[in-house]
Amino acid sequence: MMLRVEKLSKQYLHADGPVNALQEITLNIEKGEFAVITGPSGSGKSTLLLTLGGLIKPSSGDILFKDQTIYHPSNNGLSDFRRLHIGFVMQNFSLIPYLSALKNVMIPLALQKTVKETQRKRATDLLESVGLKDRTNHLPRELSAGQQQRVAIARAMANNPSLLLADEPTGNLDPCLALEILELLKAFNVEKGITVIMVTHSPVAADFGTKRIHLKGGKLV
Amino acid sequence: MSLYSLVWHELWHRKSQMISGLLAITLGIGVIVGIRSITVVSEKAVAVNLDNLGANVLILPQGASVDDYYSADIDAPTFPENYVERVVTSALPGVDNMSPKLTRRVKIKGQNVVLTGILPGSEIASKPIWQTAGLIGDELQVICAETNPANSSSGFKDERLQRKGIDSLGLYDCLAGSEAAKRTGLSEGIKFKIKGAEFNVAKILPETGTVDDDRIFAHLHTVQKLLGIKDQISAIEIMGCCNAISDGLLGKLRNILPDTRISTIGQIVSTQIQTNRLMNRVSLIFLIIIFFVGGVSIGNFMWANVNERRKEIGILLMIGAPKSSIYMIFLLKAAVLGFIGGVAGYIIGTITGLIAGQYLAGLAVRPVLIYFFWSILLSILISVFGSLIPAYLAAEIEPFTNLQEV
Ligand SMILES: Nc1ncnc2c1ncn2[C@@H]1O[C@H](COP(=O)(O)OP(=O)(O)O)[C@@H](O)[C@H]1O
Ligand SMILES: [Mg+2]
Repeated sequence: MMLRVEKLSKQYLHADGPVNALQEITLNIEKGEFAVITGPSGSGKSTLLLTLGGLIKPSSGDILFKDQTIYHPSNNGLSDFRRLHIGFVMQNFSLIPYLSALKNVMIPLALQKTVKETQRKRATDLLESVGLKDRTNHLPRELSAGQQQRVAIARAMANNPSLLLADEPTGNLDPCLALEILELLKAFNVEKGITVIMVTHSPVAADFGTKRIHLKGGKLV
Repeated sequence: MSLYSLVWHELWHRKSQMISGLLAITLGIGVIVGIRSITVVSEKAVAVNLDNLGANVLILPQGASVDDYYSADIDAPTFPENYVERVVTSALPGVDNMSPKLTRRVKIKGQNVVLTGILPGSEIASKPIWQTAGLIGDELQVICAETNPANSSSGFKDERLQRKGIDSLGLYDCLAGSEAAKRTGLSEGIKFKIKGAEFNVAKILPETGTVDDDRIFAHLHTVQKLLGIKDQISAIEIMGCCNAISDGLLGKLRNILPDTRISTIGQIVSTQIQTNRLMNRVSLIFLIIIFFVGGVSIGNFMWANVNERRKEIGILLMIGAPKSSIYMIFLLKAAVLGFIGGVAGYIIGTITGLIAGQYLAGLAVRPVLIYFFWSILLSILISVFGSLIPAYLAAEIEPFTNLQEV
């Protein structure tokens, strides 16, 4: 079992009153699965995904990663968990604007204190695998939207994650580019056996999944 | 790549913004370094001065300022040269030697230099430090003479001049202070022009550690002619005997020359020491001010920078950077900025000090290397202290609220 979610709830405190973004979610994700989280806007998809990745602390409930709670003190406020096991791909690409594509991909490796030459080699290989071999020294603003998202995927893969979390990765791309990105994610899922959890509201994207998680008003339906 | 190399990349990509963030610190350090560089020269000079300067009474025109001993006679008003004879003919006991001088700033080879016209014989005899340079013989060694100077100097002006002046300094010969020579590239035997008149460098004077090092000495009468200030001088230095001064030599001189300002060099130097002390206090107060103003201004800049970088902080946290790394990134950025501010402040302050010292006081201010290290250290400290809170707040940023911003 890759991930086990137990009675997960998240309540945001807002000036207009508390928002129950997630209510007692319980689910399992198996290793090698391509899970898709769907649901209307505001149903809690992003909240669930970011909670699974250790970026949001739930109000109650637990998340077990390979049968161990991720809220273990040894995880150093979850940064160790993210650094070692998780790759994130966000809708807005989330690249550092003043770093080249290559350097962006090298950051997770730098965090793992990998030696410089290995960093460079691995980042170059990853960029090649997403089809950006000749764009390594470009800044994000010198790349198209589709290319930027490929860099983001290469970066998410850099730490060799067990779990790739993607929040509407094709939300800012036109359908044709979107398909390329989805195929790329699928390829990593199938060829490398990486477990993928993807939030999307596009039916086309949802069809790429092997498992569907549908949310409504913060609840599983 | 190391995570901290993000700092270089960011600084490189937003240079102008960084520079403006540093303005307060750079200027603050610059002012302190400037003041200190000048004060240091002044302090050093005061420290060696009492032993080295032969003449110990200074007669200046009424209007001259004696706040700064080193510039007291530069561009000061003048009085007639025949005041020298008035003193001589009054046969005051305890007056051993007199040096009339006229001092003005001139340009030599494009450099500002202080030109002092002297009557060679008397000038040299009253400066024991020069005698070791082999310029003049033992017979000129100054002693506290019992003899009445009036007796030995009938027709003083010309006779003394003829006898001793011609030996060592012709009408178009000059003596160059070591510092002045270095700056203008003069060396012995070279010919150069001041205001159109050609001079010959008779001797480069050995370094004395006094203001004389940055002066060029030429014949008084030549200088008067060149500057068009005929028969006028700006100062008389008198070698008085110590016991004569305690016997009221100053009062007697004041009676003879009522429209001048007469002080012992000791008095002037103690004024100078007070000025230096004041300058030290000013730079200390300034230091405290820039510590706060510079710290707050850097802190403010850093806080703006943290807010601008919220999204990137979110990205780094998302990738798994620990909070402590975010904190260190901002502190490192502060340290790098502080370093740049310190270097820039030192350079600006030193250049300002060199120019101001030269132009305002005729002092040969030199860069003080140790201030380079102090500037950097101080600037880094201010910058890092000012950034502690913004850096802490940066590390506490919740990543997800930013990740959802497009
Ligand atoms: N930081 C926050 N503070 C308060 N409410 C929030 C916050 N983030 C999200 N919400 C609310 O929680 C609910 C779920 O949001 P989200 O997970 O972003 O939904 P989705 O991704 O499905 O559109 C929404 O009603 C949203 O308004
Ligand atoms: Mg969302």
